[in-house]
Amino acid sequence: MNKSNKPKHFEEALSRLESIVSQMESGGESLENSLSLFEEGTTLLTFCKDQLHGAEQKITELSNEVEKSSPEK
Amino acid sequence: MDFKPLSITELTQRLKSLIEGEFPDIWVTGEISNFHHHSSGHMYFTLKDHRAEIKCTYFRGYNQYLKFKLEEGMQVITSGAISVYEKRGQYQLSVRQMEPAGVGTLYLAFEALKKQLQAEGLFDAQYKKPLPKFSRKIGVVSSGTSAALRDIIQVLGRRAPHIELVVRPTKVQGQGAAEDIVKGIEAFQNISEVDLLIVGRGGGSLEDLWAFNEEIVARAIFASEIPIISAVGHEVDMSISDLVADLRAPTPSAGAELASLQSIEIMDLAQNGLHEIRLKLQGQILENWQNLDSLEHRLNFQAPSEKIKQNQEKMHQLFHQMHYAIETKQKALHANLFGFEKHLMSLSPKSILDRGYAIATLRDGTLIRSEDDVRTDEQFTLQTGKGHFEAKKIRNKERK
Repeated sequence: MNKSNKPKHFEEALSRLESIVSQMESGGESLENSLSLFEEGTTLLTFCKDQLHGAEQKITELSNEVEKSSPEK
Repeated sequence: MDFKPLSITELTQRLKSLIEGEFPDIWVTGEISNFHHHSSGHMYFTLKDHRAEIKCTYFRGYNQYLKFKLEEGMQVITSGAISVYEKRGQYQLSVRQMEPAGVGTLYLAFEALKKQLQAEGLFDAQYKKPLPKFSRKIGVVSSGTSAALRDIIQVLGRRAPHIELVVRPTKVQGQGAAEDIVKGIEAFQNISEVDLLIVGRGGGSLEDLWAFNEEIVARAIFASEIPIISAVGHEVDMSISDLVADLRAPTPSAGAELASLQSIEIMDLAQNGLHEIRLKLQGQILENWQNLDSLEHRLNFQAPSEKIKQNQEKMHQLFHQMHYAIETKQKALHANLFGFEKHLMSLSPKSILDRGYAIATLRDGTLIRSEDDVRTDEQFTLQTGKGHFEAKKIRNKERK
């Protein structure tokens, strides 16, 4: 695994996370491998959560902006 | 014979219907006299020439649009209707509109052109082009420095900032104004993106607004491929261009509002669209949350802590085994050591003494190892297992 290889997109991170979880669930990993997978998984999870929070916030911000800038009737 | 004279009221009513029916809308020119501007806002005066005069009323509702200061002795041209004031048996002119007499010819020209163009059908509803539903680019034919243009820019900026304005600075009054307006309208015909024109100017005297009553302007407006809103002067000013245009706006800012009326609908549409997009986006995000939450659950379930725990237990067990092994070893060693100690103890000189031996030393502490080490009658010390004492050599024993 390459920890410096940070995900760029939500989808990329999500699919990597999915494969990590599946890999871990299939078992047979050494402790060291499991740890390193788990670490990568939690990093990806945090990234995905941040992305979703960010997206939600952006939607709220933009909606507020639209409401502010809409013309009076 | 059935002779019945008319009552005054009957006569007056007949005169009233006769006169008012005959003069509902006339232009009259004359000189102002007995001018009185009442505190109610209404104006009363007499219009006269060298041979006759007529009483006039100019009510506030009309005179508020008067563009010049009315003074005694002034020559004016007015339009209005003759009415009969029954109570006093008076007929009078109810003035609706008034201009200085100098512009009288303009009125004639206006009326003549209006009649002509009407006959040609230039004002017909069938030729009115519908305004574009979504204007993107609006052309303005107006003075580049006028308040009218400022109003238009302001209104559009507020109501429809997405609409691009293309202004063709145009001479709107004085010599050559009509020609310049025509050129302005024609110039826009070649700009394909412009989907609506506003042609107009702010308020002014009839002479100021005159260019918009010229035939060439009327024909240019009629010929325009692009829909035109005519926005000339104030609400009361009706120009030929207003009649020919696809839509008449009472003022330039009203023109801008009419032009951007649709934009508010666009905004509504856009906002509805935006709302839908937002709902969709939020739905997607919720889906992703659900997905992510389930992954989180699975990931946490796979956390290596159980593995670590198992390993810890194993390590613990190993440690115990190790501990036990070393303890056993230590016990064995200890037992050995005890044997050694006993053995060692048995080698101590004291244990020899305990078995009945004694150590003989001279006074100076030298061990006596042979009969020659001590002389006859010399005292020496004997050390036993328990206590010591002095002894004396008597003689050497014969050797066997």
